Amino acid sequence: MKMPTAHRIALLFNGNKIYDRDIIAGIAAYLNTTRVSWDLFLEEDFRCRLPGIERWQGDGIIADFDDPAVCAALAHSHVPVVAVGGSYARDEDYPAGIPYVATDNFKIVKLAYDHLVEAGLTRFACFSLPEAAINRWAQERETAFCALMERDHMRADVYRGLATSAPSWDEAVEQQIAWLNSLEKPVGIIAVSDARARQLLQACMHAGIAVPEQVALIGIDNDPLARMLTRIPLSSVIQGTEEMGRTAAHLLHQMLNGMRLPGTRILVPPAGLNVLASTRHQPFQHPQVMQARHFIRQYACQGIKTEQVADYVGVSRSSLEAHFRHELGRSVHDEILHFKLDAAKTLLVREPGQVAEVAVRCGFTTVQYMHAVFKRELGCTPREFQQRSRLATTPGPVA
Amino acid sequence: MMQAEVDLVHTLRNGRGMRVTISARDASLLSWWAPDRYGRMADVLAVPMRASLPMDCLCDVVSDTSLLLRLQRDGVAERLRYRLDDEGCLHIDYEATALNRARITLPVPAFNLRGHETSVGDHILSLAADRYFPCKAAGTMPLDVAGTAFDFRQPAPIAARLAWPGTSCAAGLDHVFCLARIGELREVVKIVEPASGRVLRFFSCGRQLHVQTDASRFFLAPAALDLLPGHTVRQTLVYRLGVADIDALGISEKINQET
Repeated sequence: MKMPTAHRIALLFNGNKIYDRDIIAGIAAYLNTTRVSWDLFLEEDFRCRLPGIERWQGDGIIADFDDPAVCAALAHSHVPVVAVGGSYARDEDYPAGIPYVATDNFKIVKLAYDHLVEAGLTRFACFSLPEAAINRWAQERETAFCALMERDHMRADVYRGLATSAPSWDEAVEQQIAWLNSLEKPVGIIAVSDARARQLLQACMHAGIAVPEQVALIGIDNDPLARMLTRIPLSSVIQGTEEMGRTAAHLLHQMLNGMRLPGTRILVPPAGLNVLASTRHQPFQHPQVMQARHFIRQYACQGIKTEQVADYVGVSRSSLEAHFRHELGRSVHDEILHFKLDAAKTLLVREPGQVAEVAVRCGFTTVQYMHAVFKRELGCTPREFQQRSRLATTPGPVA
Repeated sequence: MMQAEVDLVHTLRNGRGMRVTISARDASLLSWWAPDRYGRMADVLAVPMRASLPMDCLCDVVSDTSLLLRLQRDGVAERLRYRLDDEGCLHIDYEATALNRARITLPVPAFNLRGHETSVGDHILSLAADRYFPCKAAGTMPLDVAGTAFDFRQPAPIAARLAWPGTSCAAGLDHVFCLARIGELREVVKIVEPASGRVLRFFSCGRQLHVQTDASRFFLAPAALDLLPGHTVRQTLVYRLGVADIDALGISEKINQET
């Protein structure tokens, strides 16, 4: 029996990157479900193949068009080509006459931005890459960030920094720290890639900047390597890479069957968010715990008791206690006490006055009780705390 | 809401703060308030689901988590039990007996997991269906989903998928899918909304599912039930609402089906 001839297809991707690998996985998934038989040509570094690509005796190509050298090499290809790459704000930036499957850069940045807003941030910045032909996607993400800032009437703070190289590493980190220090805190920062986010996270660690309390940081790619190499797990936008691969394979499949698709452009939105510690600015809480904390934040200093919090939320005391233990690992009473303690600390620092008055204003029943709480939680008396804070000439960043 | 209307609405609650309201007038689902990944509540039902026919409705049992309704319409006696559990599952146990031959269409809520009138185009759909009917005309044969835009066996964003060439349904899905593993209650649909993190899973024993989407809603409609005179049919459907990040932590996927 004569076997049908398999089409010879080249996949021009950089197999070392998670983004490219996931696209290839999507292509493979399409082939597995359709039983389409393709002979795949894939090299670890496809750029070695580029110079002679126009003479390649194959049937079709799917290529990463983020690299301008690929666009140029395939501009006059005699075999069907499907382009994969980042989306562009301007129509004229797409390659002409070639079907294009894009990761939607605007939606990626918007998802990251909306996440930071939901996490309670009100100031935002973008950490990008120096302008270069090979990372036009980074500039597109900057553009998306600036458009969102303009829409919401905020100043767009974009920092490109230096490209990473061994000789300039220290200088790059120093400049990143200087930029981080110049930002008003707390701030939510969108890095154009996980690799970039990881570098900034390192700079935060060097500078003693608390993540996520002072800088909430989110990357793009959901790269396991970036997560492995950071002490604070990094939040990230998950791109729709597998779907991009499936879509690209489908388009090429149709072209091999004779369909002409020169103007086809499909934008694939992000697949989701991987929310980890770097943006847990306001961690996920049970709605009743959140309601309760909202109430406690407002009324802790008026001497409220657990019963009143439970009444406000509309649940039994025991069930609210159970939620608190589960979500925060402490009781409602402890939570009220923490808020009172924080308020007392702020007042003692701000207003050098009578400790007794602070105790009353913060809802402590007696000065002795506040004294005992200070000793237990901070290891000092309220008066010692006040003296210590006055000695510090330049107050440290508020965590 | 008028007092008379308030009395006709029952609210189910669970331990994670969810609220489902059901009309005791016609057993329709009115709202489903569920938290997103940030703990913020929103109503994920896009429009209240209303029964099309006039009916008598009796409310038998009421508790915080469960409600039993008996309905009588057009010679069909129906029992509907709604139960909301702490895993975020809304169980709907349905039973109908007809005096004459009848065709019953089960309730179809419309969802938007973002909780408001935004597009559902970027909702990510997984559907355990290997065949689909290319159009709604009677007598057509189902086609294999493999290699088509209708292959949702792996998750895919709805609008980007419908943009595949030759799909000709840019306005939305309106297709009947043939489900795998007929007869057992199993997860047949999973829909994720990336921004809120909300995830809806739909469990059914049925063999077909009509999936419809428009600009801001999606509908999951099980196949109609055919009743013979004097016969009783039963069906269980489960909708489970959760949050992607929490699901990722490995909370049990099991559905506790009460017998």
